[in-house]
This record gives sequence, structure tokens and C-alpha cells, in this order.
Amino acid sequence: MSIIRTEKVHKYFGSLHVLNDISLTVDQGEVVCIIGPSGAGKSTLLRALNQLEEIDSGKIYIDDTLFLHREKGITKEALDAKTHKRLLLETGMVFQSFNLFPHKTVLENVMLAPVKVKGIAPGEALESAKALLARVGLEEKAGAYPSKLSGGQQQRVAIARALAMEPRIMLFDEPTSALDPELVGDVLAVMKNLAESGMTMLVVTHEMGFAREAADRVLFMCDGVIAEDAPPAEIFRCPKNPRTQQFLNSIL
Amino acid sequence: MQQFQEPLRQIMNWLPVLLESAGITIGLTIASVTTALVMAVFLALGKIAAVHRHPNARLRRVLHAMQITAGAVLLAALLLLLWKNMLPFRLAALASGIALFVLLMLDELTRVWIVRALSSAYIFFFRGTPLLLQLFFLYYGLTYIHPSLNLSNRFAAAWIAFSLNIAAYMAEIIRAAVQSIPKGQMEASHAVGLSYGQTMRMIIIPQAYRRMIPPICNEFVMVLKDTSLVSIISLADLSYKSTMISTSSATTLVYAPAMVLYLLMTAMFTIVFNRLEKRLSAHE
Repeated sequence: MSIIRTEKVHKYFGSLHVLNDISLTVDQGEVVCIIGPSGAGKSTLLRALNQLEEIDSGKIYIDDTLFLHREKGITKEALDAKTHKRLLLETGMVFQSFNLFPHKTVLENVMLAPVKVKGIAPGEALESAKALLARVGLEEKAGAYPSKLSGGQQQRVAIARALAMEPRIMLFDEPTSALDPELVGDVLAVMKNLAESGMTMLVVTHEMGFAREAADRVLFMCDGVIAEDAPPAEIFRCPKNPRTQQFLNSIL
Repeated sequence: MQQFQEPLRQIMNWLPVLLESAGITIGLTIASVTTALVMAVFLALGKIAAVHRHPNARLRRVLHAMQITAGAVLLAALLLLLWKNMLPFRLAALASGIALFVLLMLDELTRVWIVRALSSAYIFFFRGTPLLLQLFFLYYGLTYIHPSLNLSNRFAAAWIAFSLNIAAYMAEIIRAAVQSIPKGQMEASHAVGLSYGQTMRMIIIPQAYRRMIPPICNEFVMVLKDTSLVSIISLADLSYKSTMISTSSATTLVYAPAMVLYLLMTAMFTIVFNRLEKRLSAHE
């Protein structure tokens, strides 16, 4: 059963065709890594899935329900606000630059949305927030402000914040690119742990080691198209597309 | 020591008058800046909404309620005006008229370019013309447009002129502070499902407060000193009184205590705002 499906998604930035006819299906529990050179449209694809970027045309299904249908920049079928929000909340997102709320403590960052968006009782939200912080190994930082944390710690809090909304799909937009090399490992460990727990994940990454170990599928994107879509063993050992070969040669 | 006694005695004599006029100066400053802040929020809202292009149903409902209220106030003021043609009622009618006009325009938030153009035009005018002339025009010039627009109360005239003027600057301060919050904050809020209004209220504005404090403190200090302009409409503020005393006593000595009083008032603002800034910076 597919949890995310896109059909013929197009997106332009001015004259740049940044997403060119993207049709993609992700099944429940799959871990999909998206690799490729910068400017290939990897992040844009991810951001289109939760409407941080408005696509110009195409369809996006979440949980087999039509979430978005646009043609030539116009929304064709509008969902009612409630369903729209429910489907939006099936996705959780982790950003390259963490984007924690700096004026709120770690605990408040994690609790805020469950209380304000889902209307969960604060006491209950507190308990689950603490459990999530324990899961990412930061329970002792609950009362600290983000500015007092290292980049790796901030990113783990960001993961906890996204998980607090109990999404069924986690979108990771280059989660380790802004981190010092020695901090990358902790974040990847949390992500691997999450993958093993059965979470559906879409990860834009430059960490080939992570893609090789944790991914079920690796997508290679280039010039707005998915140039290759294969299991990691295959794509890293014998890439079929010459552009994939070229890219892998340049970074490995 | 002998030669200091006479000047000191003089200063002590003037002090009650100086303190009283300093009260007018600080009263005018605080009244104007706070009024301007409220106006500036609306002005800034116009420009910010134009940037974010977010038709917000809840915001529109709030605006609607505000419009109905303003309409009721206007009606009441007009009735009062028919009943008793007195200045306070005329002022009330004028104020609610302006308020209604602004609110009616705010309903166009979905067609934001109108609000944006109005906000920009307002800021362009009040920031681009001298405060002195605005004050002059408001106090002396309005009666030429219509005799009933006679603002005979000097303090009220100064208050309105200063508020109108400062609001233009303040709007830019607020807009800049709100727009300086990184885009990622908006995106992260969207990703966890917060609405536009919730994001503004809980994420963007609280962070923007902190960034507004230093320029707003600056504005208070500038306005405090600019209020000396009201001498031209003979409002008895600290500068006006000092000049009066200086003329009548044929000495410039009075300017020394006057400046000390200005310094004390400025220091007060600085201390209050420094405290505020420190408290809001707890997370940094």
C-alpha cells in the first residue's frame, strides 16, 4: 500500500524546470534516500510533498487520498480544511538548518504543536515529549534553550519535534549537511533507529554510507528528473545510468 | 563657595516650574509613542500581510468584528455631534471616522496591494516631511480646510502630530523586525501544522519583540528631545519654559538644570528598556 504517490509533478522556478514529470511511489515502511548533485530538485521534491513549495502541476496522494491536484498553477480539487490538515500532518519534516524555535526550551519545542494543533492535554503532551527526548538521547536537555545545544543535539530535538505530531512519513532535508563531521554520527544513529522501527522515511542526503546501510531504495535525481531508482546494493555497485556513475565517481 | 550660592538659589526657585513642564514633555512623549505603536502595528500589518499573502479566515473575522464596533462608535459619535457641537465630540467623530476608514480598508486584506499601497503612502508622507511643518499644519492649518477642525487644545494637537509622525517610523521598525525572523521559522511551523495566525502569535512576533526593543528605545529618546518642537505652538513643555525663564531672568543658567532633567528622563527610558531587553534575551 502506497503512503505517498506523486503523479506527473512539475515545478518551475522561473524558467528553470526544477521538477520535471516526477512520478514516485513510496510504500509504508520504506526508507528512500534521494541523492544527486546540487540543483537537481531533491529538496524541492521533498518540500513539495508538504506544500512548502507549491507545485505547478501534478497530483500528490498521501495515504491513497488525493492531497493536492494542480494544473498550470491552479488548484483543481480543493480539499476541505480539516482533511487537508490531517493529510499534511501525516508528514513530519526535518530541515537542514534545524529551525528550532529559539525562544522556546527544548521541551516546549517538542510539546508546542501537539498541544496547540492537536489539542492534546499539556500533561499528556509533556509525558510523550519526555519519552521522545529520551528516544533521541536528550532527556537531560529538556529545560535548555536551543542556543545552548550543539548542532547535532539541535537536529535530534528537531527530529523529536517532528515525531511528536506522530506522522506516518518523515521527510529529512539534508539533515546532516549543516553539522560538524564529528556530530553527524549521533543524528544518523537516531535516523537509523527510526528506520528500524518501521517509519516510512524520505531522506535527501549526501551521506552515502547511510543510504547504503539504511535505505530500501535509492533515487538518483538530476536536472529535475529521477534518473535512477534502485536498491542501494545495485545503485552503488553497478549504476545503470551514466550520470549516476559520473556522480558517484565524483563523490566516492 | 560664596559665588555658587546665588545660582543654586535661583535654580531651586525655578525647579517647581521646570519639573511641571518636564511632566508635559514626558507625558507627550509616552502618549505619542504608545499611540504611534498601536497605529504602527496596523501599518506594519498591511505591509507584512502583503508579503505573506495569506488569506486568513480567522483574521478576517476579527477585523469584521472590529469594523462593526468602529461603525457603532462612529454612529454614537455622530449622534453626540448632532446633540452637542463641542470639541471633544468633534474629535471623537473625527477619530472614529479615521478608524472606520482604516478598518474598512483592512477588510481588503485579501486584495493586499491596496493595504500595502496605503501603508506605503502613509509612511512615505510622514517620514518624508518635517515634523515641524506637520505640527504647524495640524495646529494652524486645519482650520483653513474647515472651521470645525480647529484643534484649540495644544497638547492634543501635539499628541496627534507626533503620533502620526512616529507611527511611520515605528511601522518600519516593526516590519523590519518581523521580516528579519528567518524564513525557516515559518516553514517549521507549517510543517508541524501551526496555522498562519498561530505561527505569527507564538513563533514570529515573540522573537520579533526582542529585535524591536533597541530601535523603539531609540525612538523614545529621539521623541523626548523632539518634543521641544512644541514650543512653536506655545505648549509649555520643558524647553518652552526654560526659554521663558531665560528671557525673564536675563540669564542662560536655567538651561543647565533643564538639560539635566532631559538627561534624567532619557536615562529612565534607557534603564527600563535595557531591563526589558535582558529579560527577553533569556534564551540567547
